Amino acid sequence: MNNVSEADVGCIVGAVVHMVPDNHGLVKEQLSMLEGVDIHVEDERFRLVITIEAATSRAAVSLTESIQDINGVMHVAMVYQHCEGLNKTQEEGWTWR
Amino acid sequence: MALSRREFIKTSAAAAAAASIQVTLPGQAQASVDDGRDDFIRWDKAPCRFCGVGCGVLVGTKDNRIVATQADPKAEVNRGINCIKGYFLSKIMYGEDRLTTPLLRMRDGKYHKEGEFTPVSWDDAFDIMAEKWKQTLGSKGPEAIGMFGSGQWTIMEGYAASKLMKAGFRSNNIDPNARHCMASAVGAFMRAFGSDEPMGCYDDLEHADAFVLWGSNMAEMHPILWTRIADTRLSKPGAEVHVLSTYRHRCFDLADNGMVFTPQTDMVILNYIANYIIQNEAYDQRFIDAHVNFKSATTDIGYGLRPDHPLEKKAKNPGVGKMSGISLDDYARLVAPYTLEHAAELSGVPKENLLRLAKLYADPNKKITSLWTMGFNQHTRGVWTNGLLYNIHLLMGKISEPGNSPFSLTGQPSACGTAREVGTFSHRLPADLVVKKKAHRDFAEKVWKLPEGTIPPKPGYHAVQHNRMLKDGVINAYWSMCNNNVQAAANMNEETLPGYRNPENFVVVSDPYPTASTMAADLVLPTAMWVEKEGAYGNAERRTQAWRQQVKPPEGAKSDLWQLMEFSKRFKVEDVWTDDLLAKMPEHRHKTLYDVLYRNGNVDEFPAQKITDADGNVYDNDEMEHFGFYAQKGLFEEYRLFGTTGPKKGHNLASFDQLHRERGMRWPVVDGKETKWRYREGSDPFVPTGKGLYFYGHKDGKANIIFAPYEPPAESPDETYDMWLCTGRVLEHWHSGSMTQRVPELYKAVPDAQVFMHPNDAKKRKLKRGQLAKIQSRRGEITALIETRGRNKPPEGLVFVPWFDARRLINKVTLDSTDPLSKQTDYKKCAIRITKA
Repeated sequence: MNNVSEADVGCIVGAVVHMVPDNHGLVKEQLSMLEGVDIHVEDERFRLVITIEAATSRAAVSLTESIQDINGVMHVAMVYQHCEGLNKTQEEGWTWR
Repeated sequence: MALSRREFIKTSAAAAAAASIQVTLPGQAQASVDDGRDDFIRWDKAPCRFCGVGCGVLVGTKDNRIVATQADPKAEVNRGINCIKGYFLSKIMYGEDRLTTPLLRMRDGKYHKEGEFTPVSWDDAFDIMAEKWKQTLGSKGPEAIGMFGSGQWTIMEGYAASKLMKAGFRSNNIDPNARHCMASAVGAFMRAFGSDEPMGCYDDLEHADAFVLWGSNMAEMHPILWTRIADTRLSKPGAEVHVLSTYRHRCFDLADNGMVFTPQTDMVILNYIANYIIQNEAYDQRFIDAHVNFKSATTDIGYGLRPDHPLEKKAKNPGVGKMSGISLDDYARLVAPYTLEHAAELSGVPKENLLRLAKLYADPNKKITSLWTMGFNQHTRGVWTNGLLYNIHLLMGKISEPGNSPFSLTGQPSACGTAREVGTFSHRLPADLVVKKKAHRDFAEKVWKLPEGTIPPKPGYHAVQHNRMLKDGVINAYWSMCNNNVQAAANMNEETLPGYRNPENFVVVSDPYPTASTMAADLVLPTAMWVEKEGAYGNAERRTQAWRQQVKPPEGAKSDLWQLMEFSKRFKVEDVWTDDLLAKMPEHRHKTLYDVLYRNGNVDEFPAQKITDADGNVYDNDEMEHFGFYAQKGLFEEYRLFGTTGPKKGHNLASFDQLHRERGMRWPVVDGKETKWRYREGSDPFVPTGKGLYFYGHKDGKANIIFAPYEPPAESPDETYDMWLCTGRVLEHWHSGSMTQRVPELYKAVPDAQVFMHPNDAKKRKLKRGQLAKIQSRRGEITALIETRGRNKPPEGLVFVPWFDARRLINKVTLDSTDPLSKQTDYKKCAIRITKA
């Protein structure tokens, strides 16, 4: 791991977006407009491999939720998550009642 | 090439996602993946902590903390993907308010029912607990002791608890929260097949041509299985999805035939389909002749309420489960009134939709997997309704083969593995044995090396009865573990809270976090959770999955297993057993329950050892360190004897060591091989050669088609309370939210329970979306914000309120009516009214 820089990693998520076939063009268009979301590959069954990058895991989830809400997205399957520097659960503004 | 650490991780994330759908990433991105793993992270497998699907997760640990998780690509259940809860799984352990010390209600330095919660040592906690237990045993006997367990206990914990209660304290008053979710499914399995749990498995999701959802919102509650269904639907020509529910939800997005029916009329629709099959002579006569008996259920069986409730007094045969034998012709006559017209009229579902569904089931060339969860189970006729669906599959012979599968899904990670298989119910013993049969008790006592007559023959109080008996002061010493029943049980105001706060009672609640239940308790015990201990779960497809302890719990928190075994040391056998019983094994005199139950040569058979994986990584096992032997292994291997040598065949589990090597094994496991389809020759080793199919749960090898009529629910809307209330879960939160509400991301995503209602219903009441509404029943009320455009879209006349929110306790409103046979509560139907708050 000698080549790896120790810069702040934040939260990185790998996910698969399952699309309704009829809408897949529109879905991709909308996804590409979301900051922090990269489309890596699409398969013949209208599934996209994406990554989501955000400063905090909360921001990553909020991005995930916006993806789930796109018309034509059937399901967002989460695969991989890595969050560093976010071990404190008491994130800004959050308390459990 | 030098990549930043960030790029490495990003590539790993993309590659893992790509691998989960068997595609490769373009270019050299793929090449760097193997370097993307952080060398300092130790990776190991574990099943997810949440629902009954049982997804595999890879847990990445660094410095005694979980820093990363990945959906396990080698896990057959989820094949490398997770849902949003699974993705935040590790965070459930790191809520700020984890309990780390026992808390006792005290005033003036000693226990007081109305005292303030005060930190005490574990010793002091067990002292007062043992004092209360002994006092209760001495004054009223074992029947005044109770324990409320869990489908989230590990298998070993459930087994240790069952032993402690049934053989140690000699009380059958142990029941799990699984009574609230699975009891009706169990009842129907036993009546139809003589053996609990599904015959099929998740492989059916790829083999089926059509899927029918009966009261299950899989898109939110079982998202990974839903993804597998969606894959089949979109990739297999002619595949179709039918969805039935009392309101529209996310599954309707994929539905080819979506049907919203009036609550309780699923029974009418099911009988209509059976009638259609018979009228069109579509049934499989050869299958029926070889494999099926016909029965009819006793009717007018009441609603499982208190005996003095007017509805119980009115019922002719309250709680009677007797069946009488009938012929196919009799059966045909009984279902004949359930015509298309009748079904459409009662259910409100258009005729063409019902007809399409009936034709699907009647098509001999379509392989059908039917799935259900709480819509069927939380039903005052849950056992019957589960059975009405088996009737259809059995009439057509569509069962126990790839793709043809009536499949009961589960809500908890080990409702099957712990509650059902271990038998932590008030009437059960491991491997489908029951306390009321002497041969079964004898067998259990033999395995446990205890004298004949140790286990009491009378079934104990069931879950709903627990709260009633606490309120009535019949049960006085009560221990609740690994669940949050104050929030979960129905009719909180009239039954649960008065029971917990009854001054005659001493209530202990073990939990990792403060909950509605700990708040109502007298003593709170801080508990280790999930991978802070070694354990095993059993999922909905009979798959048993084991894991190692990955991290230490917070200082002061102890696993349920530790608590049970340690508490048992406080009792001498003569404190709890009668002289007659002791006389049968006088060598046990002066021993503790710990000695007799857990140092019996079985449980302590395996000495302390170093726990390692195939890569040589070393793991803790806090219980082994404390007790000096490998308790999890000893408990599991003793428990396994019930399946391998017990009177009921087909319950063989894989060995403890094999389970640690594999990604789970589906029982029965014989010679190291799992079973995908039970009762089918070639798949299930217990089917005699040449039989093809054999339902060996019954002596004659046949399954039962059981006619049951439509009977109305306990409470329906009227002039005063004019709407139906249906409760349930949402994707982001699991059960009472005590874990998921502490994950900031999930809390932020869905912070409050809302009342989902039709816009016209809101308009009629001069209410608007986002306004606070009051939801009232005859029993209680709560307030919640109105949602008219959300993910759940009820029809006019029905509202949906989730139950995860401790600030909006919807179980103040619900009714504790149950299925009189399974004793499972109907959380899906009661009458309410809605006004502006």
